[in-house]
Amino acid sequence: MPLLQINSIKKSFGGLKAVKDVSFSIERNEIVSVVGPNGAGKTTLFNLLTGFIKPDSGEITMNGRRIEGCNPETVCRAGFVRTFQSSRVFPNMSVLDNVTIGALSRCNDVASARREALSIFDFFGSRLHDYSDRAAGTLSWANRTRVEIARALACHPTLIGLDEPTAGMNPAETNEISELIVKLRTEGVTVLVIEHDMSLVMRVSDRIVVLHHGELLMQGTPPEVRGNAKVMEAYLGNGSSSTAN
Amino acid sequence: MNTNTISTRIQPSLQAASLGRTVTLWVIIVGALYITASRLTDEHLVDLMFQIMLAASLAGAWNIVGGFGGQIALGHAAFFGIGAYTSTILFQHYHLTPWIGMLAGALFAALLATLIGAVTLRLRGPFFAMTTVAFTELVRIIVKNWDSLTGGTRGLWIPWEPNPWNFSFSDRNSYLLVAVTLAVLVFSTTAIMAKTKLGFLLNALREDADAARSVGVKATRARLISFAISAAFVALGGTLYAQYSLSIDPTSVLSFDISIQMALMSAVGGLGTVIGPALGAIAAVTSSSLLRGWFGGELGALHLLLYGVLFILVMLYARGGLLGMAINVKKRLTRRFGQGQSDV
Amino acid sequence: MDIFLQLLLSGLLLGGVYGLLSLGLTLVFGVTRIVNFAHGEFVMLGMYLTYFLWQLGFDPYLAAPVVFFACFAVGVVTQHLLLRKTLTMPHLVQVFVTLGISVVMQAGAQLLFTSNFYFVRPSYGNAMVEIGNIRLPLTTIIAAVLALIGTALVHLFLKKTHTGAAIRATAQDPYAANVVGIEIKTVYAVTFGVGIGCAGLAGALLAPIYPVYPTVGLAYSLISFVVVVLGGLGSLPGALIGGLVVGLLETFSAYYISPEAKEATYFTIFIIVLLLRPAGLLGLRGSETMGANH
Repeated sequence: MPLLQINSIKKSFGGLKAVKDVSFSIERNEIVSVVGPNGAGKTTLFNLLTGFIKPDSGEITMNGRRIEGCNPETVCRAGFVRTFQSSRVFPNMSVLDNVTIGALSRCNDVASARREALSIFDFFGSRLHDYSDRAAGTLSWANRTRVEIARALACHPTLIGLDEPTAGMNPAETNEISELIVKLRTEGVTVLVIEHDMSLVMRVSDRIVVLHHGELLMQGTPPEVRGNAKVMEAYLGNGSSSTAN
Repeated sequence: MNTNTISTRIQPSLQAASLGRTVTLWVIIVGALYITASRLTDEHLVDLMFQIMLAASLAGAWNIVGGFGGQIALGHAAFFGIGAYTSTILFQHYHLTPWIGMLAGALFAALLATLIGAVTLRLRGPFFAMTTVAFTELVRIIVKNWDSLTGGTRGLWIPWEPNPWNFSFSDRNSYLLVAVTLAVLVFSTTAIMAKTKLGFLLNALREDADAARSVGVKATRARLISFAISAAFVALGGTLYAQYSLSIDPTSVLSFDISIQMALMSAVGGLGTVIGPALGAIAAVTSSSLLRGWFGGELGALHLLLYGVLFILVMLYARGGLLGMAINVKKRLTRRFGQGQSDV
Repeated sequence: MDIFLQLLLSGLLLGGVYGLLSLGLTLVFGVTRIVNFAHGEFVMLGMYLTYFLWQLGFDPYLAAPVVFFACFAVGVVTQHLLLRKTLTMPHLVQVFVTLGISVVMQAGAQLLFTSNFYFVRPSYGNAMVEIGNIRLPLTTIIAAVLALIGTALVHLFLKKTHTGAAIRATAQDPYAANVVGIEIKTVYAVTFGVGIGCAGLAGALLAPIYPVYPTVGLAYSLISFVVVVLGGLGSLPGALIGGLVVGLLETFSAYYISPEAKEATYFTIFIIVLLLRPAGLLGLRGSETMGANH
């Protein structure tokens, strides 16, 4: 049984069909990326999966448990935790407190949540330890992304969803984050990445799902996607004339 | 790795030390308040201190929802009024002592807050604010028109027959001791909340509700609990006000001004901090009293004018409020002198 | 039947004025996403200005355009000095700054004019217009007609002028508007000016009907909240429709239930609308996402 199973999920806003009949699944311990040009419906799909938007129809099953239409906190408790585009940390709270909030989803007292948070810091080397008491809003983008990932990990997810984790980062930072993504898998976490930037996706993914105009264009391994004519066309061909936002 | 072992080892011991210091400080402050409250003889000063304690309690209670949770609640006058009317009506109609009436009022306010919260807390920012204002107006209109129960616009009078069992005292100091107790209760609760799960969750919801929910924070639950606690405290304040002033009417306990005052004092003192609202209340009540003393009742609005200006300035330039400013000054001082020490 | 018609007409006339009153609030929200909690205090300002111009010998209705432009200027200055800074700040700060403005204005009025009620009473103040068996006060009719003209002028301004187009573009998408070279700062200032101007003008039209005193603003703030939430916060036609609905509710419930019931009726409806349809009857896209969790 796949970890996450999506069956003909649909969502429209007024007349605009943002996601039309998308189905795919994610196996345990995979790194799957969802890509597509702007307006392909990636963000809408991600919001549908994580409970921020309710689908018009379709099923989402996480670990055999139906989660479509559930609220975000329930999706988190089902083991699926997400991050946000342009890193939404709690800006005025310390890095430690940010991660503590994640840990509080599983324990009731702050002291043990703190210990839990500190143990998660180790995963990031000295990066987060050094900034433990700093307000998260004052960190660099790359470190904010780390804080967000740490906060998510503190919930002990089986599946972590990253929404454009390298947006606005320089190549060195992008490299570090892609190493981090690969490292997440070694910890036994399955990863779903929503990305615009193909180079990152090609490097880290086991499998890539391509969305275009709210539909599943194709899915396959990075080499399969790279060689696919339809994908090239979606990205380059008529993309400019038909990116209906 | 090294950093980790050090920080995990140091953190708890540091916390324990600072916790001990905080508790000691707290006990000293509380002790001093009780001693002052029982020894103070000047009628005017007793009254001033009573006003400060009541205002601090209300601002502190509002701060739980508005400061910690970041919810723009502008309808807390409703809970104040509910507290005042519930205990007074129960006493006049059923001869129930206001001590129990006070708890009944708090319970009623908490239930109502939960009910209102369940349907309005999903609204965001300004929409939530407008709904809370409308809700208070609705309560005021009901009270104003339910003449047989509430005395309508005339309000209700509480006969002054000193009897401690009926929450009626021959001296003002006793009322003041009750007010101190309420303030201690409110601020102890906030202090504990700030260090425990609920406070953390509320802070996270204020900073970014979506992000908080994505890591499992049960937003509605946390907000409802905070709303109910806050409403209950404000209702206790309502009964205290009623017993002290011996008369209540829709204008004195249910007007929009009361809601604004709680928010104003809390924000000027320092939103989302434990003792900020107390500082805001001290500043507001003393400045109001001083200005009234200097200029007489005619220029009473001068205080409101100055306080309004201060409020706008704090919001625009110093959102940490008075407490935030004090902390900044302290930081600057310790940086200057602390640096010198470490060099030596 | 006569009573019904009488109530219907009175309600619509009152609703017309409420429409203008709320137009300013909804316009400001539509463009800047700020709910102005001092809106009613600017109505109060308009009423006081009208009172003093009338004292100087102006007819209150001739004073109305002067009041509009005076309030426009006040609005531009207020937005430039205070609200401009809050545009990127949390809702809490925006709401609190406007609340602060309302506290200051109320206290200011109290200091300058005491808490006495001031009445604007032109010679024709008590004149009634009779149509068949229906009698309506002349002042209410004039107020409604001028309110509708004012509303129409604001619509024309937004539709036909360059600045108006820039305001509409900014309401749709401030980033895109900025990209195509619209000076956002000017747009916000003008929007706030027009919004406050409308509030002041409504005050001028209400002054011959209702007395003015320092705390009168709260009632008008509340009415405009009800109107815009009903019509859809940010929707300009919604303000007029919401205004008419609230005007009718007020007159009918005052007659058929009790004069006290009118407020209770519209607050109840307000809460129901916010709960069932936060975007209002003619909701602006986006205000709903602000209304509920986005």
